[in-house]
Amino acid sequence: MIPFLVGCAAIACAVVAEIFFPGRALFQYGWYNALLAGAAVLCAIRAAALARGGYALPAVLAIAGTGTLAIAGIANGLFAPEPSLAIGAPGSTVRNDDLRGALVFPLSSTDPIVRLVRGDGTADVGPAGERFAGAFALWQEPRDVVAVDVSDARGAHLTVTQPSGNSFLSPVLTMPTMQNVAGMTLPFDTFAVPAAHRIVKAVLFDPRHAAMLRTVDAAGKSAVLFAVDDEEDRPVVGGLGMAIDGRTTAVGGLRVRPLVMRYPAIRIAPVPLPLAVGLGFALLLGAIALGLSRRNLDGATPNT
Amino acid sequence: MSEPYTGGMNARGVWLGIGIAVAVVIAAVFFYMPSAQTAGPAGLVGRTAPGFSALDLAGRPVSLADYRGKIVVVNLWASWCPPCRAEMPDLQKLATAFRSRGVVVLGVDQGESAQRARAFADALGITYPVLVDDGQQSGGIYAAFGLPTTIVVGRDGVVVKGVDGPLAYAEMQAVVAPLVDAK
Repeated sequence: MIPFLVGCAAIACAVVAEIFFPGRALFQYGWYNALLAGAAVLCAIRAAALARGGYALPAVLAIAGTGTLAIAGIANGLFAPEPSLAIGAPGSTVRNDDLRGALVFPLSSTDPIVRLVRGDGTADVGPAGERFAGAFALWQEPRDVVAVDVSDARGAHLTVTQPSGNSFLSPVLTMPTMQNVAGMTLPFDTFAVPAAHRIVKAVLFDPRHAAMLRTVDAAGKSAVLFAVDDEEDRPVVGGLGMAIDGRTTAVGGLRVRPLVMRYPAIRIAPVPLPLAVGLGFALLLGAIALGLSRRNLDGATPNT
Repeated sequence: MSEPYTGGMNARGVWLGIGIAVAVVIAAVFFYMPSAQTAGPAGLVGRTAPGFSALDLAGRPVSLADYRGKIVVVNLWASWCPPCRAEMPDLQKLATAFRSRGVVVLGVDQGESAQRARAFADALGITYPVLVDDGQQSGGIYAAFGLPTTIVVGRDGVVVKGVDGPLAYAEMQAVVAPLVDAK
């Protein structure tokens, strides 16, 4: 009975690990889930033998609990959505179908709480630790974003839009994609300046990469490379320029000032269903208690 | 040695196990199945309108909370946006027609200077409050897909309608009139 219970407990630990270390690729590997299923089947075979040998109730409880845990773990590993990163501009509300709700991003990076709004209430995701919502774990992953301030040659402020971005009217570039520039893989985004009929590409150089640029003295700051095109995607004269974080530069007839800041994104990783894990654990603990008490009553393991 | 400790659990136990397994699978399907969600400004309907603040053309701070108890039509626009320009005379007509019945139209210019917004509003004869959101925060708050975007907020502060794109006067009236009548 004891080796059987140890085997069940090992499966339970493997499933609990999926809750404590959410989003690890290991849990989604086929071989890992096959191993989990195989271990559960071996436990079921052993449970059948134990049931015939005089431990029916604890064996059935243990295998029911272990099976529940194993199914929850395998369902999480094979059927749950891939871990994802929800990126939102300041003040934006980003719908998430997996969470069946929306993430409300704070207006500024100094207010680091992202709020999850679902039909059954709200939950705050702070800068420290994970937050569990249904069958998902959420936590913050701060990343560099770039707020752009654009004006015309006379200094009149111009609207910035992101027709292909995740928040059309936000002047904050969330840099969701990566671009290879001069052998470096760098965050990339685009925005439009409709009043000036311009499309602007922006590539972010962090301080380390900016220091590698010979043409710019970034003085330990980040820098942003802007490439300005017209609305037909044709480069405009003088449309390539590098701006250091916080400083205005003239490029393609625009005056652009980037402000690089840290801003939270939300990592969303599936975890085994909490209800199933709770139920599985309750059954398993009941089985362990019954098995041990039965063993103590008998003074020896019967028919094992 | 005691007699086998079966307690008649074998058959029942098997069925219990199968039942639990089926329940877990059903629960997993329910939890992991994506649900249809409405995105954009229409997705705000039924929720308390997110607050925002901006400066009016005189430089005074104005927030949505200042209009609590009124029906507020928030219209996001910019001077370079042709559909916004086309829609604004109808918004002015709405503001004039329903002003005495507790309806306020707020035009919120996105990312432009107060001078530009004032010149544009004056040219179109706009008399309803025009705000300047040069940080473009309200666009994100109201999940705008584009311009114009219009959000209608009821007297209770709950979003009644969220529209991406221009509205004709009849459409505006169809949204606002029942709210006024429900007073």
